[in-house]
Amino acid sequence: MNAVLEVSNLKTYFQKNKKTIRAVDGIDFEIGKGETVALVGESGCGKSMTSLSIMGLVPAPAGKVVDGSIKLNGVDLVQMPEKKMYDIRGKEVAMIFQEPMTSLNPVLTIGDQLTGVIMHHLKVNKKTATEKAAEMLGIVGFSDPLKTLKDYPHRLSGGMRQRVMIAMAMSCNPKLLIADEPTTALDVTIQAQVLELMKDLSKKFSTSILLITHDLGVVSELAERVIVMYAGQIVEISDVDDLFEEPLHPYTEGLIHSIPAIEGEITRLQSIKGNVPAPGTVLPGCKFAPRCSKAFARCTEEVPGMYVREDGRCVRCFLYDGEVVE
Amino acid sequence: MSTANILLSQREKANERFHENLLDVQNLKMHFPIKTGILQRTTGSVKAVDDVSFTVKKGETLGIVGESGCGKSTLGRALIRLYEPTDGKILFGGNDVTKLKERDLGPVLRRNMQMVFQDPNASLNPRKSLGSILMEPLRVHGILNSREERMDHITEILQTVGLHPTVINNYPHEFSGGQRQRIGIARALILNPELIIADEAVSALDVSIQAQIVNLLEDLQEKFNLTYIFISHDLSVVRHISDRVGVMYLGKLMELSDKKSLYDEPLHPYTQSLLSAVPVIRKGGVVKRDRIILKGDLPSPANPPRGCVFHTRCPYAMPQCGSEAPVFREVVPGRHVACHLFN
Repeated sequence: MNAVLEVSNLKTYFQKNKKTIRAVDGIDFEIGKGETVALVGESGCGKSMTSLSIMGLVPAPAGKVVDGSIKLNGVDLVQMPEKKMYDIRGKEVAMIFQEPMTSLNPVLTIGDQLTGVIMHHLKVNKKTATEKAAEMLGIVGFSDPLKTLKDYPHRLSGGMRQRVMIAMAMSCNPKLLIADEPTTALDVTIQAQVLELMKDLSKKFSTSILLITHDLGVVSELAERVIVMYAGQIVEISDVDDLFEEPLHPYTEGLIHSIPAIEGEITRLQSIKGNVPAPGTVLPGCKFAPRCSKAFARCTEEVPGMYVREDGRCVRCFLYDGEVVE
Repeated sequence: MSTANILLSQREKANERFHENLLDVQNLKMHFPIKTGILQRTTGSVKAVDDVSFTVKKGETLGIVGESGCGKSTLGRALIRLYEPTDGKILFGGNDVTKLKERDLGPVLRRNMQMVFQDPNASLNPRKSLGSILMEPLRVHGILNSREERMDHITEILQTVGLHPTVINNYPHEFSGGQRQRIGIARALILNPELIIADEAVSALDVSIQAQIVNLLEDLQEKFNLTYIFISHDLSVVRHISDRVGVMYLGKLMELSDKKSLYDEPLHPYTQSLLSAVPVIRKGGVVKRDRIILKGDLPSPANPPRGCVFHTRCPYAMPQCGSEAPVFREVVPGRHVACHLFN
């Protein structure tokens, strides 16, 4: 596959009170050109830390990428000096955050913020940048872009702010767009608008998207492939249809069954017992074993590796030991 | 006889004078004044809840859904009189609680109506241990006489909500999000109320924990014959837990029906678009329903549109909708809608 992003053996650790917290603990995945991949998991599973690691924005000095590589079109971002990252961030990789209010500067106009990005990366003058900014605002659905350029963020609603964030992220035509919970703070009717927009834009610009979310409905709408994370590790990688049709890992299965359906029969929810392990918990075996309904003796003694099935689906679980190909 | 059973039998006696409808809300209005200038003159009002009427039967769960700013949380808070309603009547077990004096609020209203809040971090006092959080309502309402009896009751409630009694001396920060929500539920439950208002009670939780709490709420309802008003923006969770569902938009009830009709065959255009906007998990190539994408944003509740509040975004708007507000009325037995399409 013509991979835009290749992450291999990525480890991002935090030091807290002389304890090491393994926020991201050795993950491997890749994203192809124009592909939308969803990274799914509950809070604290390391999905946001994965995205910050790619952007080179892990909070220092507590956090650090200690091992592994992140290759964007073959160039390793982990080894990249901070100065060079300025030119990568926003141009090659762009990011949309969950809360659009805190990620826009309240004392600058929308125009200032958009043209700033465009002038820095595309090396154009203010006039061209303003034209480009207005064009982008038009694409994301503002009816009067020139007026919006003069507005301050507080004048816009949540959905409109998120559109501005998308316009800013797409303005330099990035190869990879990281969307960290892009619709979580939005109402459903607005969420539907933003999801449609993201679908259209990814087709139009053939941008690869790494979608980080906990909402499996959004995953089903937008993604082609899904990576499920639990406690800093990838537990399953699968095509979106296969994943919902036949989840392999007991955690994925539990996650899917925990969500009440919007249509069809109503049955009692099957919850996953217990809680997500506290960060820093070290277990000798599978990290999901204490909550797993299918756990057996081996699960608490040995750490399961990643098994690749014949159909190409990957799962980290001893239940699939017999099916290993690699 | 356990303490919970004693409380239960006391309540059954009290119930005898209750009507079939545990709660009867009539034309409830909750307007907040907008004050401007140095003199703080009132220049307008935010109609957070505007002319809302509904009833809640004993033992049922009424779901209230809507987007942010539609007034669903204000409605919940006005019902329990955390806000003083501007106008309208709230008949709770036959008593009009809007007329109650402050000193009667406790015995008549709050003992029998409790609330579970969204954010368990903000709604639990970080400086109080679990034991004293749960002891306080018992002391305030003078329930059970000795400390021992109260402790026994607390232990029992803790076990009911799935917490181990040994954690009684722990402080809120020592619990996980799901456990804190269990504490919030225990606190609401400790007075053995008739009605629990759950305001986005599972929204802040991860899905696997959310399922645990939803199941717990269902179990408790069965065990204690509770009545719920379940306020949430999550249409799937509301569908799961409710018997009847009300849809709010800009302070007004747009539609109120039994769950099945509302989700299978929504009448109001707003309900239709709201339901179609929910992202669904596709399974085995099931065809998705047509999505109705609403244009624009929610108008400001301080300056709602004239006529029907939804007409600015409604795909079926007629000239009449901009001038005349539709009446919220029963169009099919058991189904209430506020829309000119059904006149």
